[in-house]
Amino acid sequence: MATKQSKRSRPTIDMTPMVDLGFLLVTFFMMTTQFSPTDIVPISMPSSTADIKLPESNLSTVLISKDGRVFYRMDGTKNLKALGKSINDKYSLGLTDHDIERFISQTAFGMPIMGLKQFLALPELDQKTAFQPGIPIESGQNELADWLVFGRIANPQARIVVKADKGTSYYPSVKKVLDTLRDCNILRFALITDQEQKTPSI
Amino acid sequence: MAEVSTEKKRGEKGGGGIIKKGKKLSTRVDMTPVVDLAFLLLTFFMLATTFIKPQVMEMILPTKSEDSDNAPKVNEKNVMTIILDGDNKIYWFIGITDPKVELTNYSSEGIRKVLQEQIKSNPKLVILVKLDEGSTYENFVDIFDELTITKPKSFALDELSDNDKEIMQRYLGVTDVQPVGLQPTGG
Repeated sequence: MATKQSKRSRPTIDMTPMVDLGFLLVTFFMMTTQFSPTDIVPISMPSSTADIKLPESNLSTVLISKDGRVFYRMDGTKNLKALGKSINDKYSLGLTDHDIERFISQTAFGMPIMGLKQFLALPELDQKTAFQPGIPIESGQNELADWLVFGRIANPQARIVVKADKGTSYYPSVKKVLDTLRDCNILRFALITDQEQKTPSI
Repeated sequence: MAEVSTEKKRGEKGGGGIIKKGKKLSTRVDMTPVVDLAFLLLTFFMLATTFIKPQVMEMILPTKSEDSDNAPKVNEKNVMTIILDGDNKIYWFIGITDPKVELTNYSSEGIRKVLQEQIKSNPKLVILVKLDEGSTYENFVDIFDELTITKPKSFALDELSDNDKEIMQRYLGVTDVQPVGLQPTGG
């Protein structure tokens, strides 16, 4: 009797198909995921009915925070390297190769170019938390124009996109950014928005 | 693994010889930890993925022309001016000589209806969008979105002219609304 009971197999479930399924899904998500760069400042975008999807790479992005600070972002290690070198040459910042390496690891730039070397010398954690005052865009000292022009030289295929917070006041930041784009002869660009939920009543 | 140890236990229990010692142990591997791992990774990637991709709105700016003589001349009856003010208010009028200013908003019953009606009654309408101080980036995107939806013949972004300011001041004076901080032109 006792032996008979021990012979009864324990209720086990074959996990193999479940593993198959699990890894299939893991593979799918691993292939499709790309980690979007985290923004230095939180930006909540306005919504629109535009239906063109944002390209994944080759972007030259101007960010405008809610309080009107302007940031510049470029993707691609090679492009960033070229951008860093041209900025270094133009402003004779005297960046070392090590500084350029750190320049590449930045997600966005929002400081006067003269303060760039000092910023790159900060420890990595401090760089993330340091307050960035924004790129100067006053007509006398418009550094955004330099970022845009050198960005275009670094990657001629880059599409220029503007990403601004919906609460940003139009004057002066948004207007100045648009004027700068126009001054740089960048007449075709895109504004990043979220998908509007409601459909137009046409 | 649990499976393997079970087999062993069974062997020990049946040490009386009912289950022969020489019986092969099962080669089956317990997949549960693998499933745990797979689903942990799955959860991570699912949470890290953003499926909703942002949209982009194409913008094309006119070139910066120094001479205003080359600008196309338009009959003022075909010109509609939209002034975006703070507090999500929109003022609009047609023509430039003593026009009737009207107030509307960003809802689908507001500016979209106005645009649809005006474009229907005058397909040659040219629309000028002017932003006053206090207007936000959201207003800017909204109005261009409405213009993309209603498809007028042409529209442009412009500065507030002195004439526009006068019209607005007269209108606001009449209706006795708080005066708005009008943006000085230039720059």
